[in-house]
Amino acid sequence: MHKLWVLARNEVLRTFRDTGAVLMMIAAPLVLILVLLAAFGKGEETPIQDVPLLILNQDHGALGEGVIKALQGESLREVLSPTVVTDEVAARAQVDAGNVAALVIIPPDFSDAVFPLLGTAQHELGLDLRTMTPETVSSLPLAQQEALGALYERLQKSPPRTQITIYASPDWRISTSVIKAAVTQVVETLRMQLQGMALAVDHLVRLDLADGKIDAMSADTGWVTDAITASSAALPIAVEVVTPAGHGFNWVAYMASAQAIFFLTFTAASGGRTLLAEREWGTLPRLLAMPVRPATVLAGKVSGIALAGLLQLLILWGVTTLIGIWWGPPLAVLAALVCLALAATGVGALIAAWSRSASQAGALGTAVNLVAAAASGTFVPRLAMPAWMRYLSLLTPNAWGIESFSRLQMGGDLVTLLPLLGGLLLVTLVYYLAALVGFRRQYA
Amino acid sequence: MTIVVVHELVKRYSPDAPPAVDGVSFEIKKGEIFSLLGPNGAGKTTTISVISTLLHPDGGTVQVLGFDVVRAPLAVRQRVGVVPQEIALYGELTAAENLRFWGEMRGLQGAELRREVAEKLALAGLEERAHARVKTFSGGMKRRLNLAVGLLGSPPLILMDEPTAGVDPQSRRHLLDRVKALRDAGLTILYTTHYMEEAQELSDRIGIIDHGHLIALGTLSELVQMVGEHETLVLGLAKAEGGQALAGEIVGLEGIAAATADDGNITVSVTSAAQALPVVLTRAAGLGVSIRTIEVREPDLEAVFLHLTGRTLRD
Repeated sequence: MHKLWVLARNEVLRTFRDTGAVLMMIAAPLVLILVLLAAFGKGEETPIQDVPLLILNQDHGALGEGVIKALQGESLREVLSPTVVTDEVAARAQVDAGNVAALVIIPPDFSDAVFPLLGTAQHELGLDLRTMTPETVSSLPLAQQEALGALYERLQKSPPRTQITIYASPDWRISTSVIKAAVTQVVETLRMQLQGMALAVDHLVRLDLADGKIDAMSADTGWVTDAITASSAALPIAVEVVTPAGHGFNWVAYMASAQAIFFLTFTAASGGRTLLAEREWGTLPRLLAMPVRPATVLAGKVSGIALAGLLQLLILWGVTTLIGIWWGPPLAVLAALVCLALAATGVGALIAAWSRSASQAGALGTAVNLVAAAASGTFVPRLAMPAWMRYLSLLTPNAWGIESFSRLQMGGDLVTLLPLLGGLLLVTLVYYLAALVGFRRQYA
Repeated sequence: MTIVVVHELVKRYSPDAPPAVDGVSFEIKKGEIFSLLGPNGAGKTTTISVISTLLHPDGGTVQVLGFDVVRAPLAVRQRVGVVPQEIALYGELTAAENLRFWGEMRGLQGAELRREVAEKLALAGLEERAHARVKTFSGGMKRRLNLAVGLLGSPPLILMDEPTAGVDPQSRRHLLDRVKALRDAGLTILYTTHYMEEAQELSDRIGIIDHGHLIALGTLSELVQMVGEHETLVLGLAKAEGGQALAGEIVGLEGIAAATADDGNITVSVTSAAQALPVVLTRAAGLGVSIRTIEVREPDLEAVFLHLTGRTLRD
């Protein structure tokens, strides 16, 4: 066991001493992820059109309608294809089936959150401030005036918050990001309109109503005060994407994990290639002439390659997490990384076992890795690929890895990940068995 | 005490090809340097590979300190240190790290490992470069470290497969001195080479191997006696052309046992240089071959090889 560890340690040490290897293992994928991050942020080249979208307006006030009109507006016409619905259950079923990209849910308290005094005064005190003048407010019973003042104070201290929910289909990941961007833009536009309105009215109101809060509030209507408040900060509206699993999809996270797996396969292939290169260098025969079993030599070297791959993944996971990319619950991510390192190493060993020389293994490894990456959704969304390719790509560790991290990023945990890890370990077993046959043939 | 017993060893790489080693037998006694001398492809490395358990024999038996290489390979490997022909080191690791790694592979640990690493660094003359990466070393430094790695753990038998191949004269001298020092320290060494001078200088006994067959075995003096009173004439030709024809013309003449031509020289094994020389010169003149230099050599391993095979070691 000690010799196995020494062999593995030697493999890791040599890998990380090789500047070229480190550039390929760590720097290249990080740069690629950052480039993708920048490119995705611009979104100029995303060829997305007519994204089918459902809108459910539950708002008691008028602003919900405004949001709908904005989403149906000219500026988004080519991108979105919205349909207003009233049956939430049916709409969610449509999303679950993947027939539409998402369901945008405008909550019942949406307008109230934007104009809290107006809405809350009506709900709690039965006062419709929109129809009231300063005189009618002043003529209210003192108790009602005090209640109105207290309400105002309370709303100032803790304004209500609301949330537009985008219930998104995991089958429409990029489109979901576009929908989120569109809804966020509508909310921002609303804030800017309020700000413009507030600026105009604020001056007038202040001139007439400088004496006190209750006067200011009752000077005209509550919306003036609300508008002033709303314009002074971000609107209390969150835009959240949820998937059927309950978590948001993040394209950058998807790409980060996919690229990490992609570059892991190169590390593993390179490690496998060294199994043959060491034979050419003479270090493998020397190892085999040492008092150690050949199986231990092979196991030690393969363990070292897997360990180097795991370290590479851990570094990439760590760095990308530091820049805010969420891969999933740590324990589940760790389990997936371990399984992936083993699987990728199996592929590397398999290639080496059936190659005649290190150079042949190098060329074959590059070709296999590129095809596996393309077929498994490393460069394009996996769910955008034909079903047959998605199934066929399950022969690669890339596909299992991408599926695993997608599940984690959408709210999965270690338990829900287990079936995928089981599948990955099963194909990994096949890799190693096939590699073993190849090695036995080579060294017979 | 016998350390190695090789009996009727046969090894073939494919069923169609002739065996690389065919019926080779020899023994190596404790504390001796036994050299296998032969040209490239003679079967030296194959023999050493079987002894080190890297190759399985197709016939015959090989035992190291009583352990059969097929039945007890691990026991054999524990008792054998190998210095391969290639520089079998990790370039990305330092000299000390290489020694530590290979030492751990030998089963060394803790204080014993540290002591061995320090000793072998000193033996290789690399104490000051202990923490430099091997890929930055000169060829001679790598060769010395390559030798030192083979000696880790002081195994009773050291197999050295042409350890001076491609080495500059200074490093070669250093290595040869080290090999002799190891023998003086009581180690047993199997040394393969195609350099006659090395075999002559180092060996207690020499086995001459050619085309997979052990064609002669003995001490240097025993082997030279096989040639009898033969001397070697080396004729330098003005032009290489005609050398082969002249060698063919003179071989078999009275007093001429063998003749071979290569690199503008004709090497002739003769019973008497004084008697053979006029005949050779006459034949050369008849063929229009100009002789530039004439050298008469005392009997040596080259002469033995020429005598036994009709070829030089360089052929």
